[in-house]
Amino acid sequence: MVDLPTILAGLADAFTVTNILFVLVGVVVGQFVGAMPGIGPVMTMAIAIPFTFVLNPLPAIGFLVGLNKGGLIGGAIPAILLNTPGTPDAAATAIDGYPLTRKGKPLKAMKMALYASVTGDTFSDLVLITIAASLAVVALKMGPVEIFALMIFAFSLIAGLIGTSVTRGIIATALGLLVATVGLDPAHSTPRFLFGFFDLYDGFPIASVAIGSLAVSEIFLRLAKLKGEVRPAVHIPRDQTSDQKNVTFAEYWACKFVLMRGAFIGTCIGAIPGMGSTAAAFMSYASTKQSAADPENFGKGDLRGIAATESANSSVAGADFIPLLTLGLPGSASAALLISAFLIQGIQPGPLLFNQQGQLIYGLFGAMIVANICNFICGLYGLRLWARLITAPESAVFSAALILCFVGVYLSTGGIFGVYIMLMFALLGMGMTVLSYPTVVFIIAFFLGPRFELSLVQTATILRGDVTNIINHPVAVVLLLMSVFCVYWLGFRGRGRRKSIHEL
Amino acid sequence: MIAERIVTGSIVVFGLVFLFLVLPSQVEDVDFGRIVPSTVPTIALVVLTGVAAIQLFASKFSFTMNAYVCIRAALFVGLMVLATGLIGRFGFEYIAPLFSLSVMLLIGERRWYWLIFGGFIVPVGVWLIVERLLDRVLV
Repeated sequence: MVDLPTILAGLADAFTVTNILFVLVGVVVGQFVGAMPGIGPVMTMAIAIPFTFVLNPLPAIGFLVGLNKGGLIGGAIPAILLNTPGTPDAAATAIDGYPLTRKGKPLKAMKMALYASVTGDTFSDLVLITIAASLAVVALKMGPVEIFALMIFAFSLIAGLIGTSVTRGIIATALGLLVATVGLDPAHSTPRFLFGFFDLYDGFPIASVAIGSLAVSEIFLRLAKLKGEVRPAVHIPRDQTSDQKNVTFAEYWACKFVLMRGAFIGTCIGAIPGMGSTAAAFMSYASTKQSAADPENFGKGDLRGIAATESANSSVAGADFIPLLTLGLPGSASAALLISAFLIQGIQPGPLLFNQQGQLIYGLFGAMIVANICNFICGLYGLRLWARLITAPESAVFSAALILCFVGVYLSTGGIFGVYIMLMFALLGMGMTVLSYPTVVFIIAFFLGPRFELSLVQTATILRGDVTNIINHPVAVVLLLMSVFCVYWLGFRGRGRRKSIHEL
Repeated sequence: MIAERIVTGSIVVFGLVFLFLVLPSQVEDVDFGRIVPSTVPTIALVVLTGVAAIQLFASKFSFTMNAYVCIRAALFVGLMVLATGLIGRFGFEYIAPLFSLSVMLLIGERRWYWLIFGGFIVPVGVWLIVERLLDRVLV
């Protein structure tokens, strides 16, 4: 496993000026885009990935991690001020955040969101740092057959949990796997689905697919719905009393159990691929409300409501890395984009990372801690600024985002062809969104496609072409049975339950 | 419900066409190895077609499509395709500001300072950064 000098070297890398600067820039950009309803950290991460090409792996990943973490705090700002969540996971924050704004305490609500967010995030990061290496040791004991079964299980879980129905999730997964097969076959090196375009020999460019289906498609849909509306200006009066603008330590400490429960729920949910931070936020809110002595106060501007949702949705960010780093399985759109950033940097996420890139991994852990500190400081001093910037016109923001998408894809793919591919996937992403097919599932399947095919080849070789030989691999059998159960449970039994989370 | 059936039916047709017409012509036959180049695409297409067929008969899902939004979205896609073609022909620095300005005007932005910022400063700034600062060629 990773030795102490490597861990210390990694942490030392994280605390260099260059790395801190990139993480800080990521946090600032993340808080800004999180505060802009409709943009969000996922879209920005997709746009930013090609620009991280030129960076070393640690500043590149650190920047993206900072962006993701900053977005979690930024998303709460419009939810609290405008009752319009900047990111979907901040929807639950608006339930108690907006009433506090109406009571004249917007800064107090935003500060509680900030403190809760940083607390939850730090908790999940510590859990990640503590258990990831041990989990990786277990993961390393798994052979190709078990890995293949695990991927099937992850696909069934993600397909069942993300989106409106399990059939739509499976169709999106199959489409993602199909698109991933374009290019040279890994076993025989024969071309597939080229249609005469020799630029496709290496498959569809990762940047084109990610930016097209996650960012450009969303921008086009948002543009189509816009018609010169200007968001209402938010003015926070300067002459507020201390109670109106500050959260005292006593108020924070009174929420300690709420914060810990939220962080625990978020960490557990984040570690499961496909569950997502929105579910974590609503589950934490529901359990806090149910266990409170005065549940009637919730929804009327109760600080515990904000603490519960923000600690839960932010703690998902750290826990997301548990399956990503130990198994190489992304559980959300942001984790899928981080996987693409790893791949672009020539790094294959998975348990071997701890052996091969131990210094980088502990550098990444250090960068996550740095991002939390930056998040706290930037949030504390930047709340008033973000509150003003959320009124910036979407027309300028979206047109600039389209220009950046074009430039990013052009630079990373080295030509106009990649831009056309991006537009093709933007159309596909728009179609999937409009027809309620989960784009995130498609992207995750696309990124995992080559690994899935490779593990299938290895599995077929190990089993000597006889499926019954899988009996010799009990872990794989259990995982495959769990996949079947998962599809059955999420597809048929769990249909009615999913609604209840959003109906809270 | 009818729209859902039409869309799901189209996915079934897409899957069948790919499975029986496109896949044999676009993937080479290999007669060695336990997994051949067509194995994974076939699995993906069989799953896609099969599940879409189940959804065709079992789904009670219905969705509403706003025709106005769809047409406007198609307009923006068309505009970007056109802009990409023109950028390839005339250069980024000439077409990108026009594209950016067109997008802003189409949304309904009329404030001159934001039009200058989004339609001129951003695209030209990006071009200067990439071409002059990063020393990379942008079309």
